[in-house]
Amino acid sequence: MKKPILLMLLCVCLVAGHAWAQAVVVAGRVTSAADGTPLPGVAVIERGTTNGATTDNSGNFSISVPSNAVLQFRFIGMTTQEIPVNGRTSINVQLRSDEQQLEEVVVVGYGTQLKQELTGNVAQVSGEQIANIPAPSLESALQGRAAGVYINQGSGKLGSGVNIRVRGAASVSASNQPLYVVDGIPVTSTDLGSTNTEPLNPIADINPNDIESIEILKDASAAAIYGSRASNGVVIITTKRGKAGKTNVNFNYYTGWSRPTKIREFLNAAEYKELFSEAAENEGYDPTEIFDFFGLDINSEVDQNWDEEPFQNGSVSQYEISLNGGNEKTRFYINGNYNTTNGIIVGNEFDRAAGRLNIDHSISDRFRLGTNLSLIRTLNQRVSDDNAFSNPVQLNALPPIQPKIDPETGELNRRTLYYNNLIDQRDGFNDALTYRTISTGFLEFDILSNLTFRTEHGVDFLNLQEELYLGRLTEDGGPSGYGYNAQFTSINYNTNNTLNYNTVLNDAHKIDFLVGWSFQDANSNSSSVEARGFPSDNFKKIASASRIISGSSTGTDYAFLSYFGRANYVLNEKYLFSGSLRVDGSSRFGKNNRYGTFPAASAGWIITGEDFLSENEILSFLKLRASYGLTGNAEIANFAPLALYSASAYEEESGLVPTTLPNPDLRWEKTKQFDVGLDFGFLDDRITGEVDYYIKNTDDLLLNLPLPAVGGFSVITKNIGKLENKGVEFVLNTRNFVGEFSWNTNFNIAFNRNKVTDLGGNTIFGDSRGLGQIREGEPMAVFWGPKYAGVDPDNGDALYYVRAGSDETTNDYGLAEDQKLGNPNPKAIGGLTNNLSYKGFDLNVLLQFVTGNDVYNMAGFFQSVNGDFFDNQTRDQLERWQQPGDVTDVPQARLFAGNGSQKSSRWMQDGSFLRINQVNLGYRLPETLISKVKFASARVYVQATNLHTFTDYDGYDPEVNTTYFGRSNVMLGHDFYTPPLAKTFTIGVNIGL
Amino acid sequence: MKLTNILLATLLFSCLGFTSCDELLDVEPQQSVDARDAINTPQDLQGAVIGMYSILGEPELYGTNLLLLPELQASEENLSWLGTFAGYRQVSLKNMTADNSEAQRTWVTAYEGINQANIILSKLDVMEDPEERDRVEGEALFVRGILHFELVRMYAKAWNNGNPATNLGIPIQITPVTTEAEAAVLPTRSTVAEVYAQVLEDLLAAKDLLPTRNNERANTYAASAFLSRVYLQQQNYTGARDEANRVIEEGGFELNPSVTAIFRNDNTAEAIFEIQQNDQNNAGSANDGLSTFYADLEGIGRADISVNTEFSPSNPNRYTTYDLYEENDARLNQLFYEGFNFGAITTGKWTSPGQNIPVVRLAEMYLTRAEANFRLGTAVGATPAQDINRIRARAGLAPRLLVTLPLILLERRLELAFEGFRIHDLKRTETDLVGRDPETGAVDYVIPWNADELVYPIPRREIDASRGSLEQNPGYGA
Repeated sequence: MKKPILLMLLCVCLVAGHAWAQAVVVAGRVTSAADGTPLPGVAVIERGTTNGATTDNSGNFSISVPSNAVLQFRFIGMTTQEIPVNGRTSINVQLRSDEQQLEEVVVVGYGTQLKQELTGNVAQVSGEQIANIPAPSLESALQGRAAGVYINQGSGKLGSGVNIRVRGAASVSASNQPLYVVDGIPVTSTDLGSTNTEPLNPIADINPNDIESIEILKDASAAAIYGSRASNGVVIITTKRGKAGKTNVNFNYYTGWSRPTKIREFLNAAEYKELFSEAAENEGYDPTEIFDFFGLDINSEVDQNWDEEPFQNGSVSQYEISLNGGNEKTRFYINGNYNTTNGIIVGNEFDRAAGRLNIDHSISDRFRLGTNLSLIRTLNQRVSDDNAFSNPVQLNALPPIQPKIDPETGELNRRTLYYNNLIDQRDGFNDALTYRTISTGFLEFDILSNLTFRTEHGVDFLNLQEELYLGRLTEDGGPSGYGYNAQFTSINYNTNNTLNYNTVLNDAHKIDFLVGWSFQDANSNSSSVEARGFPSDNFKKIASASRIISGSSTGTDYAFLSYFGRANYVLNEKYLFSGSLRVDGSSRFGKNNRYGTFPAASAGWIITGEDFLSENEILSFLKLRASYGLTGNAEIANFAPLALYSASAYEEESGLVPTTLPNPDLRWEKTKQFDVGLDFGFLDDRITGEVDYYIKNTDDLLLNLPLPAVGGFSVITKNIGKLENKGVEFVLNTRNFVGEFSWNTNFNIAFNRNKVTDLGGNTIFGDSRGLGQIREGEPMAVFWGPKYAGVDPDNGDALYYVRAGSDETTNDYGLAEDQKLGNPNPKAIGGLTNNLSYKGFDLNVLLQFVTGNDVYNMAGFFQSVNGDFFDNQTRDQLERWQQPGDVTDVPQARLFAGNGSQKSSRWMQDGSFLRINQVNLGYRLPETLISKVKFASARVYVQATNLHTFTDYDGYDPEVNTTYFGRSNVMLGHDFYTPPLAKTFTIGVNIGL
Repeated sequence: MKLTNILLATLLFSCLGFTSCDELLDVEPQQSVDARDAINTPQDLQGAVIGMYSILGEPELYGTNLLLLPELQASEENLSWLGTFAGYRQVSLKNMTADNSEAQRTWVTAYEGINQANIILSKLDVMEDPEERDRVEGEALFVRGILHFELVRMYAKAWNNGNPATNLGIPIQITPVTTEAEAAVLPTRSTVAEVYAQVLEDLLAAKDLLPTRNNERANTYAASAFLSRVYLQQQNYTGARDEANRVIEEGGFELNPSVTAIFRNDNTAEAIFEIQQNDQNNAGSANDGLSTFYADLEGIGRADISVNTEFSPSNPNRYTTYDLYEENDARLNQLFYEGFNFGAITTGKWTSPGQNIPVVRLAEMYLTRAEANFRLGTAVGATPAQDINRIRARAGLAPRLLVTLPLILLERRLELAFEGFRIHDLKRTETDLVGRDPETGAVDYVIPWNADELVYPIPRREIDASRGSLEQNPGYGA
């Protein structure tokens, strides 16, 4: 362990080399630059500390700081200013309204930086932007707001996993999800649950209204400080903190209702009988008899609209009270929040109760401590996997000639072609109950006025209880009831310890050093029991069951030990340099490659700081920056390098079987990223923006390499192969009107090209029903298979192209060669936000778009297959070929004959869409009105989420990604009875006291 | 003051930095063990043997597929697959593609079982007791032999279809794989004859090594019973007869008094080798398991398979398995029922997810001995009529005075229906599959017993992972 010692020596040198600065009392007045009026309540903070004061009613302040400190003046709606004290005792400040967007402070790994001085690429979303949005999880509220961050909610199930790709997918077999860091500690973001193969989303536990800001570290310069886990980007979530001054009490409430974005239509009874009679006759069956053989009555009078049955009117309500305030010594933020959401899918409900207490306290001028405490309870009443017969959306497969209610019994019909899973809703439940705390405590100590030591300890404790009961009449619970109960406990402990030194030398050299180490130990345990044989459906606890059919307990751990350092140097406020280094060790990797080193360097040039541009009237800001660095990906199985034997039960006995082959050389996946960007501002920053170009090369891919199964093992995790992401991001913010009528526009668009450049000659196959594969020379998860060529007008046969690049077609599926069919990765993503305000009114509209990606409806084989089997068909199947000369895409209806039923591009469609993601119209009640009831502020609003979607996709919703086979990197953009997102309308009120 | 500050900071900062931090990263797995620690004692090796049986009981092997697929593939005049699982549907319609999921997972799991057997064979030295050592060696050879046999029957042309000495079989795997280098060796297909030779070698050795009683695991008679199956498949009737006779004469097994007992009770007198299951550990109750697909009871089974009956006033022909039972046959009256959901005829052999699965039972030995004796014109052990009538008597039927080969084969079909024999028996007796119009019984189509589509594809993933070293079967593309 030479590295930590070196770092230590470095620190000691730093400590010894500098003298203690003298403390001075600085006083002054803060006024508005616009009209010169005094500004009360402005936070005056010594930078890099929590030492602060607040201006009084006349805008005056007084603060004791070291003579070389830098003071920050912060006020909501005003641009934060930083002023070095330089020994002065009087400083007067004019704050400008929040127009200078480039001077924002940005949270980076283990610290903050002025946006102006940033040399890396960080997307920032303020808490305000995502507050009070009735989104199932906070990530979805980021859609369209952060350039280059692709967020796919996958389905309308509440609290389910969201697919996030920051600048494209960087791994084939390891995770592609970013690292989440909440108040400095990496939190548990992967699913622990076991009742469904579809992942739960632990990030949904976080109350979005608690968030001060979200920063997404995208390029290597920003992310490499998180080393081995930064390849997929880092999402830093910072919660709100108390501000000294008057105690602010805020009450927020909203309520609303929701509907699916779209319900797909299927055949009605008459159409069903017509299509299937024809399909039967075409194959020589007597329709009445073949219907009867499958328990269907062709003379049924029933016309059941099953397509509507999976869905219900959803509802959402949120109640919140928050307080913040304090004095110079102690500041607090308190929040209590309760959200209850009834999903649009029958039986789906999500409740979250969250409480938070964030406290900062200054023991003395030099000692500060603080804690963030949160307690969360979420209850997710879950829906079955997309692939399960009990998935409500699969009800659309039921023939419309079979009734929902059995007329003989008056109960839910149990003799349907497929399981009438409404019985699951009536006689069963599947609950995931989470208790969680993400809590941290820190101590800060100024060794010197500009040398600060900070130690931070955090724990993310997550307890998940899954309880499932299926009654005796359900498909999986019969004949005597089925119960399952599981407990998961995950304890994720983390400590960060840093030394931070900053100084300005000769008014020209601004220097900022950080060194530190961190240790993370994550442990998770589970126990579960399942049972059958309940006396009646009134008994749902396992204590009442006669037979325990299985019981299990498991445990697993991993640990990371890391050392890191960073240096930022600004010369003459124009030339910016930054370098960082992280050394990571992880228990997940083989002894031979346990430690990895992740360096990054970047530089920037504020061109407008040069004399030749400083007087330019049009160009107000221009910065050129570039970065290069190395990040890693360590998200593989905890014991991947080892050859393992696991237990395997055989009736009453337990045996041993080998499960994995050894690979002691297994090491990190490495991503080298180069980024060059330009930040600009025109016309006194009325127009600002960023342009970035990046190349992200990943090699030593962590690849689950397929082996010939003849050897007894079908896969081994190896470092093989390379892939590349490159792209352009463009951000433009304009203030079209300022003044009484104000109108701001924010636009972002990102283009990413992804290509797997080397897989050592291997191909990775997804689920055999789907089209996804990972192939050399193609984008990740490329759609690959036989290409559908429509219908032979002469005989109604389905046709396929024989080979790529040829017009030759065949009706013999076996002769159709596989070829490239499409790409589930979007070509471009982005968003357009317009904020308008006039007098008390404000209007906010977010349009979000995703374009150039393909979606494959895997359920097409069942639901859009010209009457091949008795599943109800989508209405487009009525366009089937009927007689010679018919020109159509739907082959002749042939029962059981497999005419066009095999997997092909037949059910692949363009998944591009433009969505009115968010509309919020609010009205701030005039002070004259609210002062009578002693309110400080009051705003009422109406809001619509996912108001409308423009798309050519015929399925439920183009934003789809079924995860019934887990979170796969191979199977993207597949639809399989996947429920659509919710369209939600809310009304709300925010009251400040 | 200054100095204390510095010291304090240094101390805080280094509190972990100087301890042997590296040890913090030594995290051991909790429900697995490193291979080095896995098999070092006799007890460990016993554990590996149990693990081997647990693989045999997987749904990909005897837990479901090795009994289900031979019936589905010969669905004509037998049963109908009504379920949605595309893999099984393709098997029953004989339109499998190279990525058929059942073809793939059966292959993969069978070779896992074979590798487990090979690992056990390579670790025999830890077993000190010579008797124990023989037993374990015998069990591993038994498993390796029967799995190669099942694979060659599925993925290669039948023994009697062309020349087995040149027809491609499956890769023979007789060395253990424990490292990546060993696993990455590209496999090639041996000939059908080579595979059968290996199967016989393993089973003959197992027969000698295994004890006469081995709790509920494979004993010497299980090896003989499988040998009789292998010989029968090769049309080696002497071999089949003698091994079956050995089981009957020496094994001490007895036919159960009732036709249902073998399917309702565990390890009955008739059972020669069973997959042991219980409520907790079984092949599955939702997406796998014989009762899952076959049963249509309230709360058990998905009714994916219905038994065909086409006999009616308009179609007075009896050719489906079900229609061929005599009226008072106990197997007809006690082993079929009308399904709960659809009212279709359903077999009563597979009605509970936790029931044991008889892989070999004594009735098969009588039927094999009868057929072999008949074909050879011998009466080793008993006359064919005696053996057949033993089976008939148990089913409550009158004895036959005269038996013919068709009658013996019919009795075999009726007794062993839905137990995984049909396609193998059709192939060895060179009987074509006949698809008929259910209304009239008129022949719709015929699939010859030696048709290419009755041979499973080498799984697509294997073709790809072996980079072309494995040759695909005809009709499945490159």
